[in-house]
Amino acid sequence: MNSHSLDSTTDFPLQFNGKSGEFFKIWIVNIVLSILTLGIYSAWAKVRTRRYFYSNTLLMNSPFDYLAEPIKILKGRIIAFAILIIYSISPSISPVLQGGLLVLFVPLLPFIIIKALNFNAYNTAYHNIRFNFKGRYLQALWVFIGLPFIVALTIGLAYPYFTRARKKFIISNMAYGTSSFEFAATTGQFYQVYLKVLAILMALAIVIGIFTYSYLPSLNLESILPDYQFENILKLFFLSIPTFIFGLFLGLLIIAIYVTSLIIPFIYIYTALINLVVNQTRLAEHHFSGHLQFGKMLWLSVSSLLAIMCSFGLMIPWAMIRMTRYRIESITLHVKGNPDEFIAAETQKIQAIGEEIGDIFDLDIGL
Amino acid sequence: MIEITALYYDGKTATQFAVKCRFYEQGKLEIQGQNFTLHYLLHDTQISPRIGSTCRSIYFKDGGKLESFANDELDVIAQYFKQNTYQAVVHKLEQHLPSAIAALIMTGGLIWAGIEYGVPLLAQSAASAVPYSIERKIGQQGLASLDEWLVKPSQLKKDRQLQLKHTFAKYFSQLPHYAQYQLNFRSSPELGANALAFPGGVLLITDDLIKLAKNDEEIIAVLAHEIGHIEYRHGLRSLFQNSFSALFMAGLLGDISSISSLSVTLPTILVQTRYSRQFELEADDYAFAFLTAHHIQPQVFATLLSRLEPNSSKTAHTNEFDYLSSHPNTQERIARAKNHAF
Repeated sequence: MNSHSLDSTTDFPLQFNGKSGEFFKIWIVNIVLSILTLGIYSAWAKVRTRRYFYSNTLLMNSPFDYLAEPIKILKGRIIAFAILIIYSISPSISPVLQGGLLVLFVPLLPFIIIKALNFNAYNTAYHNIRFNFKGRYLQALWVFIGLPFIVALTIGLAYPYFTRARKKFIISNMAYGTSSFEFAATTGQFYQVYLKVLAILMALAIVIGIFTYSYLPSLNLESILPDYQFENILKLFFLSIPTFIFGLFLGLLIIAIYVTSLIIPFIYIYTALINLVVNQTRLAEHHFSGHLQFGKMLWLSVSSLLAIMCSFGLMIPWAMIRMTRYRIESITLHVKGNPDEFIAAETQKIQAIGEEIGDIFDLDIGL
Repeated sequence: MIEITALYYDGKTATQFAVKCRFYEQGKLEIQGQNFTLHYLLHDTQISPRIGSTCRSIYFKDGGKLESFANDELDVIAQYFKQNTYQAVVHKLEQHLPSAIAALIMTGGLIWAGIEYGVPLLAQSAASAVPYSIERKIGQQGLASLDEWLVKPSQLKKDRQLQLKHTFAKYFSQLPHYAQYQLNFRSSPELGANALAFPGGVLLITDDLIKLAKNDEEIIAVLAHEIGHIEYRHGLRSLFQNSFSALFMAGLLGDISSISSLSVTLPTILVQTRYSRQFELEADDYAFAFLTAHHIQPQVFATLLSRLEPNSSKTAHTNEFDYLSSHPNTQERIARAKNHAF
């Protein structure tokens, strides 16, 4: 104990112990029971899944705990189901009705977002201390309704600012017991991420451009194909096997280029933003660091996607476990001072927070 | 008496205490820490259900909590004090490999049954609960919005319109719901040669289709198909079927919040276009039966269909895309009409 001076920090990587074989059985039983009970069991299924992932997430060898009660989630789902049915049938009764429902929904949205964040925070515990969320309505109205208008008005130029505002709203209003989280990332850092993506997109556009305008004509495609009509291309494929193989190769190449030009920026933004957010988050005097790697993330996403498609969805549990493992184990908590006091320090200040939390809002609001 | 080791939290602080817990058959629990002993009554506690090999929690009314990996012992205790009885069954299912495989097969079967019978049946009973006045209003609303966006008044001469209405009455007046039918003429370059049926008996036929038809029998054949849609209440049923199938797929493939994501949308579209094709075939069958009863060869319908799609010989080869189409393959429909010839 004495080896920890006040200024020294100790690193605690988060750990994930979920096993895909074990989770597969939980997952498949969940699906069957959900269908057999016409969806009623899905609330219990959600809690079992959450509990499995939370209990397998360890910090300093202690698990997290998910405390939501299935019956409350079920109530929320029944309400959401009813609203969805009303909304999808409303345009055939009168378009005005659907418009009216939408107008009603706008001022409700910030309220629902706050309640959902609160629900998820309040039902998450570590060392028997719950998290909580104390965002205010007007703040949420500005971030989730006001800012999207500004993003539209600036033709997207304000989008990185909007992203930062969203993350800041969620993190800086979050607390573990009585210790608040703080969010230190600047707007400039968010603009940097999006500027880099813009650079990647430009590079990809140049590659595709060079490919299309110089490589393709050099193959003298026009002389093979009188015009680019689909039937002609089809005919050619079947007329001559070499052309067919070439065409297949060309088609695959074009698909690969377009798919990667979509996936690469998306994964890049995802990894860069998570790292930025984690690195700039503080809990009291302790801080976090995130080390997701773009290449690893790209490989995990693409291979998971392919495995899920080839297995007709049966590899979903495997993909969930390996993605969660990588994302969780990329986060480290740096505790300042004595790690035993990190938790003990929360002790004196814990106070009961409102239990009147909206139990029905179990929507997952992405960070 | 069962003894387990656990970690104890008092509910006020996050401090962890390593403890020994003794559960007594009378329903008492003794927690023995390094320098404290606590007593609880088991009916005031809640043991969390067993999930995989994860650590279990025991929650106390005062906010305190135990964490323990002694899953087997806790199962015995939970069973003895009748806690989470149902979820214990779920855990047994999850542990048992054959039941996981059975679950897998059942999932496939249930998905198929849900799509094939469950959703359509549910939609049909929902549709029959809708009063006619509302159905009629939905149909008129549909026509009104088409009038606003897509169709213009008919260019057809008034006496031709009257003559067609007369023919319509001649053939369809014996139908039980004839009074509800309302035939509308419209012109629309966007729709081309087309006829539409809205819920509640509102029918629309375009000028192009009337011009395309070589005789009135062909027009009657098309209208019989559309009336088939109305008699079977396909409009309302597809409305319900589409929203139910979206929910069914969302429940199956994710949470309700994910209803817009691609992994749910794509299979939903496949299912919904399949329903639409089934409705078209049902309406075709209605038309064939109607035409036969009125001594018109069902092939009349086929002739008009093949004229609607002059390059149908080409599209006949694109069978592999049939599952994406809202209408059945034209060649197949023509062949079906020929089978009904008398």
